[in-house]
Amino acid sequence: MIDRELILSAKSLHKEYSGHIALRGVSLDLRRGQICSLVGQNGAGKSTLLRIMTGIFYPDTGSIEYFGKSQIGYLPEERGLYRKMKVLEHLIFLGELKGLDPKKACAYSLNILERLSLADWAESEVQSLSKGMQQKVQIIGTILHQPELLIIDEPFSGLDPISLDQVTGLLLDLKKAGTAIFLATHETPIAESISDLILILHKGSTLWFGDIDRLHTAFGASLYHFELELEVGKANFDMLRGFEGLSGFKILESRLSRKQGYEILVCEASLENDKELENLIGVLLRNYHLRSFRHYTPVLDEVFRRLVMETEQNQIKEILYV
Amino acid sequence: MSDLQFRIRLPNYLVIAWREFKTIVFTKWYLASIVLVPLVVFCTIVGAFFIQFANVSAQKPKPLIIADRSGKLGDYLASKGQIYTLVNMQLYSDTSPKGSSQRFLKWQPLQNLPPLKDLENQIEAEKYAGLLEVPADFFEKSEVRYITRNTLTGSLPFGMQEYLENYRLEQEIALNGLTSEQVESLRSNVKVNSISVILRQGTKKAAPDNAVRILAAVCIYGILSIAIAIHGSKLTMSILEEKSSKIVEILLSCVKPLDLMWGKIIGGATAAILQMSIWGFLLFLIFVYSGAQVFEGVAHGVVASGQTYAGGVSALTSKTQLVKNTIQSNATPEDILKPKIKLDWKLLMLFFVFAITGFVLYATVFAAVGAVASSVTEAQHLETPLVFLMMFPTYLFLPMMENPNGPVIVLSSFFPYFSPFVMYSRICVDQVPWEEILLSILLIVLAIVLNIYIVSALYRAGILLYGKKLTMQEVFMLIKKSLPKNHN
Repeated sequence: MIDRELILSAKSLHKEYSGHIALRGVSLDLRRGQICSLVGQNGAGKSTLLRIMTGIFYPDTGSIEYFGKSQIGYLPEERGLYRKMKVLEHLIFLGELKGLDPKKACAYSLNILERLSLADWAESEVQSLSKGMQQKVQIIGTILHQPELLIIDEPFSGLDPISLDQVTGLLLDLKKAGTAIFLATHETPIAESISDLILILHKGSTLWFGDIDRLHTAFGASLYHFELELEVGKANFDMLRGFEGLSGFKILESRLSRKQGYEILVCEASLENDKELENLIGVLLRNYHLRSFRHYTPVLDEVFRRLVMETEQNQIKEILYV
Repeated sequence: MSDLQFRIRLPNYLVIAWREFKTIVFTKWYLASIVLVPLVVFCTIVGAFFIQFANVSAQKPKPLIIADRSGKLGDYLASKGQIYTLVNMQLYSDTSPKGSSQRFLKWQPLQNLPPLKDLENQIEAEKYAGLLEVPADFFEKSEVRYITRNTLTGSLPFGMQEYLENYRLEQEIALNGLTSEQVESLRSNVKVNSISVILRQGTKKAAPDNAVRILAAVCIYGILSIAIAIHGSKLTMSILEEKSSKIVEILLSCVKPLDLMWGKIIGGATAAILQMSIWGFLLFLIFVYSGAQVFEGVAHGVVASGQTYAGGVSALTSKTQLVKNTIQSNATPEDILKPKIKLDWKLLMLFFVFAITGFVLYATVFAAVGAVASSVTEAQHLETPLVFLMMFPTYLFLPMMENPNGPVIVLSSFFPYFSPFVMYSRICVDQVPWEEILLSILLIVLAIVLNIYIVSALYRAGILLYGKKLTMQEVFMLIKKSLPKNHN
C-alpha cells in the first residue's frame, strides 16, 4: 500500500571516512507535518546524516528516497551568509536558487522578516547584523520557498528567549502547513516540546527512533517517584536503604525539611504492576511519613543520558528500533 | 532592489553568475582597475624610457677624439653631422673641415694629436669617451680602431657607426660620379612594396596591416594574461570566501556543484570580458585618434625588447630593422598621418574565441585551487605553478615569430593551456589551416569540460572540509569518492 504522507524514507544508511565509521545502518521514515528531532553527542554522525539526506554526500551503502515535489530546505550547522550583501538582496538570491520568482521571493522575505522583527534591517548589510539576527536570516533563507522537507542543524543555538519563541512558532506553523521537519539539536527540552519523532544517534548507530510518546512509555511506564520525610540520624533510615535492590528502588535526592531535624528523600522505584505498587506504598506508609508519590515521565535529556551511558557501559552494539 | 522589476526567473547557474558579476563589477576597485591597469602599463613604459633617458642625461657627455687619416671625414661630419654630435667631437686631421656646421666641430691639425700614452691615461680617467682612429686605407679595408675605457658594448658613441658607414658609402658613390645630393635623392625615392607569398595564396582579400597583425598577437598575450592574473585570482578568493563564510553548504543544498561552478566562471568571465572590451575599445580610440605611429612604435618596441630578453644583443639591430622595414614599407607618409584601419574580422573573431576559451580554461584551474585550498596562503602557493604555466607561452613568442611552423610551436598550439596564446599568434603571423584552428579550439573546450567535471567533484567533497589541508592523495580520493556511481 502506498503511503501518500511519506516524504522521505532512508534505509540502512552507511558512511565511512578514511576508516572511521560515521553512520552504521541508519533507517528512518518521515511523513508530512511531522517534526523529527535528531539527538546525539558531538561526532555521533548527525551532520553526516543530514548531508546525506540533502544529497550533498552519498552513502556508501543504503538508499534514500524522496517523495515530495518541491525542494528541500537545508540549514547546515556550518552556515554563513555573504557578509557584504544586503539582507533582503541575500534572501532574494537564496529564494531564486530555490526556484522562486524574484518578486515572490522579495514579498515572502519581507513578510517573514517582519514576523521575526527584522524588517528594519532589510536594507542593511549582513555583516552589520548580530550573530542571532544572522541566524534568523539564515532560517528565513531556508524556509523561504516553503519546502515540503526541512532539514535543519542546530536552529536554536545563539537565539535569545524571544527569538527562540519566534523561531519555534515559525517551525510549528510550517508543520501545520504540512512541512516535514528534521532537526538536529542539543536543545532537548525544545525538541521534546515540538517533536513527533525522536532519533537518538550514538557513534553512528541508532539508539532510538520512534514516537515521542512511545519513548516516554518505554522509559517511564513503570517509574514512580516517592517523597518521604524522615528524622535525621534515625535508625529507620537504614531500614529504608534495605529497600534498595528491590523493584529497582533507589534514592535520588536528599534535602533538609522545613521541619527541624527532618530531611526529605526523593526515591524512585520501577514497578511492574499495581500489586507491587500497592505493597510498596503499604510498607512506606507503615514505617515512614510518605509526603507524596507520582508516576514519573522521564524527559528526553534523561532518556538520552541513560541510553548513552548504558550503551557505553554495556558496549551494546544492537540497535533499538521501534 | 531597483533591478527587481526587470528580473525574471533565471536558471540557477545564471543566478549565481549574476551575483558573481555584480560582486566583481559593482565595486570601486573594479572601476578603478579599468583606469589604473592601463595607466600602470603606460607609466611602466614611460618610466622605462624616463629611466633610460635620466641615466644617459645624468652624465655629461665626454668628447670623442677622432684621428682622421682618411682625409675627408671632417668635411663629411661638418656637412652631415648633428650639432649635438659635432660639439662633442675633437677632430685631428690634416685639413680643416668644410661644411655648413664646421664652426661646431673642434678641429686641430693631426700633428697636434697628443701621444697615445697620454690619451690612454685621459681616457682611463674618463676625460674622453675614447679615441677613434680612421686609417688612411679606411675605404679599402673598411676598418677603424676605437680605444675606449670599456669595450663591453663595443659600440661607438654619438652614432659614429652610422656616420662612418654613410661616409664610406658616399665616398664610394662619389668616386663613381654621383654627388651626395644625388645619393640622398636616390635613397629617399626608394619605396619597397612587400607582398606576402603566404597571405596572397588562396585569398583575394587585402592582407591586414603588419602592425595590426603583430599587435593582435601581442594583445592576446597582454590582455589575456592580465585578465587571467586579475580575475582568476579573484575566482579563487571568491570560493575561499564562500568556504570561510560557510555559505557553500547552503548553496550546495539547492544548487548542483556543476551549476555553482559554471555560475561562478560565467560571472567571473563576463566581468573579465567586460574589462577586456573596455581596454580594447580604449586602444581602438587611441589607434584612431593618435595615428598608427604609436602602434608601430609599440609593436617595434615589443619585438625589440623581446629580442633583448631572448639575449640576442647582436641580433637586435637586424631584427628591429627587419620589423621596422616590415612595418614601414607598406606605409606612405600620408598613410601614417591618416591611417586606414583594415579590420580583419577573422582575426577579431578568433581573438574573442581564444581569449574567452583560454580565460575559462584557466578559470577552472583557479576554481580548483579555491576548492582545494584551506587558506589564502595555501591558495597563493598553489597558484604559483599556474603562473609559470601561463608564462611559458610568452617564451615561445619570439621563436614563433621567426618560425611559426616549427615543431615545438605547432605542438604547443594544440596543448590547451598554451594554444590560446600560441595558436592565435600563429594565425596572426602565418596562414594556419582551418582544420588546425578548429582542432585547437576543440581541445580547449574538451579540457574545460574535463576540468569542470573534476572541479565540481572537488566542490562537493573538498569544499566541505573546512580548514583542513588536503594532500594530493586525498584530493584524488575525494574526486573518486564524490562522483555519483551507484547511488540513486
